[in-house]
Amino acid sequence: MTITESNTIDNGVNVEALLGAREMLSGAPAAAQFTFSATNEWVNGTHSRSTVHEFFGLGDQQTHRRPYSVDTDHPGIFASEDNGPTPPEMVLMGLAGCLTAGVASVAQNRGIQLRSVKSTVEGRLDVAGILGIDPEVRNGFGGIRVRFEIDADATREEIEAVVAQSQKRSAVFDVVANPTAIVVDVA
Amino acid sequence: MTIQEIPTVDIDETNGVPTAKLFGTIAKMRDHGELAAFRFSAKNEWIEGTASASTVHEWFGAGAEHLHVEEFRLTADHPTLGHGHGPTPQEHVLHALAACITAGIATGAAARGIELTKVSSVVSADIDVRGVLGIDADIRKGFSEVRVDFDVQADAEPDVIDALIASATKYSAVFDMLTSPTVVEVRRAAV
Amino acid sequence: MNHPRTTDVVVIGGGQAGLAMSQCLTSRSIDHVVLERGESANSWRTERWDSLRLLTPNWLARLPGWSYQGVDPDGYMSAADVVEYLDAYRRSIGAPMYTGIEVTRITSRGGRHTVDTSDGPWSARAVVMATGACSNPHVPSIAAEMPAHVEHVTPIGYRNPAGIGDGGVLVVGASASGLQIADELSRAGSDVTLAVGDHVRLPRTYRGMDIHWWMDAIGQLDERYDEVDDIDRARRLPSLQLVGSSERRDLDLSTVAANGVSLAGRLVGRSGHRAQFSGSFANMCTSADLKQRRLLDRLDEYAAEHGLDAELSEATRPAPTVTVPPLLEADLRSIGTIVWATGFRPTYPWLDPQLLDRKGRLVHDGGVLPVPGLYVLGLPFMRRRKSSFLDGVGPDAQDLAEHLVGHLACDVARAHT
Repeated sequence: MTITESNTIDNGVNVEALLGAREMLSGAPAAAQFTFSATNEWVNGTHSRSTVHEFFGLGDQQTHRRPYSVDTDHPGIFASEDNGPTPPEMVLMGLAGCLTAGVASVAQNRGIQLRSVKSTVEGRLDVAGILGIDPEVRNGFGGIRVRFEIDADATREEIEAVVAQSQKRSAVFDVVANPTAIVVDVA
Repeated sequence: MTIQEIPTVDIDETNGVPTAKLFGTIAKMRDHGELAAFRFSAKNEWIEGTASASTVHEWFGAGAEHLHVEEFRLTADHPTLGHGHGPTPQEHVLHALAACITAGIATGAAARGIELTKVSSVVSADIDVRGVLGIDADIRKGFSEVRVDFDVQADAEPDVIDALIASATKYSAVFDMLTSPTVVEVRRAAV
Repeated sequence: MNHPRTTDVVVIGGGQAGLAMSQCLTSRSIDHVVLERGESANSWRTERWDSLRLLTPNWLARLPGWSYQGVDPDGYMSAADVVEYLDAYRRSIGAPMYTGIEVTRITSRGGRHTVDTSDGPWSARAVVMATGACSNPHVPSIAAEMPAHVEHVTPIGYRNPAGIGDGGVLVVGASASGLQIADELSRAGSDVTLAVGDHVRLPRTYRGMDIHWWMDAIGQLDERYDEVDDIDRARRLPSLQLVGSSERRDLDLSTVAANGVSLAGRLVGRSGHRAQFSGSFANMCTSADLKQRRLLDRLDEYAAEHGLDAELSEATRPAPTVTVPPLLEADLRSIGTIVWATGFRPTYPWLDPQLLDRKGRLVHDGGVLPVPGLYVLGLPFMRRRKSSFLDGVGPDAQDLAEHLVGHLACDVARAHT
């Protein structure tokens, strides 16, 4: 991939740094091993609060600029108090954020100036699974749909190509679309 | 059948979970399968660089459209290559996983009449970023492994707590959508 | 059209369930016939693999008026042994069996049931369907997504490693059948991957006694269907990860892994040439280990309560399942065979579909169908936890025979009013 004319467009993505990181990490695989983590504390009912602050990468402990906390809960129909988005909604938010970041990076790399990027992400959930009503219904989303509205200096085909490529550069897309191993233990 | 017809009288509440109301909801859905079809959605708007903001407000379930009590908003960004607007999207997913299993522990404990004093967890996930950076096509883009370690304090034997955690994990929506493939279809909206 | 032959009860199926029912009816002087599509004990003759042995010890093969009298009560019968055992039983009770008869339809009207067969119709006042729990292997719909070059096998069709073609083998399902077949194929030299979902593990022996001795002793095998919280779930439990062998060896995921089998999560999809497995493997193993621990705790409690601790050996607990990171995918281009050890779902093509639920399962209450005079026998946890075991059909047959007697009496009463 060649660096296109990035000094005429600016999507806010530091492409030099990105490409520099690529080059550095190709030769130093250990530095590419990241570990993200969050701590969660139960509040009451189905309401809990998670915080992220530290993560590991580039061979060292790193910290976010500040701790970020998020509340999640369930709406009233689940006999809850709606103190925050539901966990499935958080996954949708993570997916949207990841794909959008990918759109911005890929667009920058291809010299496409973005003016606005909006998306709607929808997940179908048959709650007969999680409520134990029907064991043949899966507990997670039956399917997720993402619809992008992108206003940019590019042809429709170019934008569609950017959107397609963003999926190939999305960690969250991969984790959701493909099986991911999860181990749950008692501390 | 509307959401208003689902009983709101709470006979008892354990761990802040009004179990009678929950069981009432389950019973109604058992008899009327179409009520179980839910649709959650989020809207996202790019800010700059790798930063964007997602909101959730509307959702569909039990045969009707609903609104959360307020519009919830979360920003996401990337720490090293971004501008520090928020946690990374991957971290949103880790939040979601921990919170989902935790909610299941609270509900499961309530259904068994077990009082919880504390539930906290640490989720961590490994990712080799050479995948997302396109350096090595054999490396997956997402997490190679996710680990959740729970610290649960309750008036119950350790065996019972272990079983509670294992069961909450098994029935967690987020656990399922991550451990099994979930179809994600991404398209440009029709102009 | 043939004029129907008449009897009081038609029993469909000449295996252990049909024979047990026949004995119960004979002892109550109830006129009946047993219709068998093959030879008696047909499925034991034709639908079992060569090395198969019963999971339960021989003393746990009691039938009404019959029990194992051989030299190895603590051993495990082979399929051929079971055929001999049931043949001897059939002769001893003089079961009125017609072989080579295929039932095609049952129609019920006005208290009489017409059973259409390949050999003409029977008319009866009651019908007992004793075709067993393993008549139809359940192959999940994902099988249709597998590439054309793959051969599909079920435990009913599997005989031995020589019958499996070249290439790797994917065994789907970590039940008793799945584990045994995976283990056998791996030891015979095949490259085997085992896809693991929900499973139940138990040691073969505990504190010196066979695990079935324990389950019988604590009353678990006799647990009634109306005493259990979630009977639907209990009826769906996969078979215990056990094998019958003279060495009384354990069979679990750790041992098959040690014998070369690669472990993967549940088979959940196909993407191009990759089979995809769930990342929930650790949770499956944790759940199975916890369940095993709970049962063994119960056994220890029983031993203490009944003063058995002195006679029994020390409690040695099986090690937790070794969970090395499981495979999340496998290359289907190197898989030649998929063995679907994914359970059974009996079908009843001869029955009015209205008698089945929307998933094709028979609707019944402990073996009694909503249509008066129709019964089923031999299904998992039908009346008792052991309902589908050799040892379980007898007590269930006695219960249903009692109910049937009541039905016939009402019938007679109705005829005279």
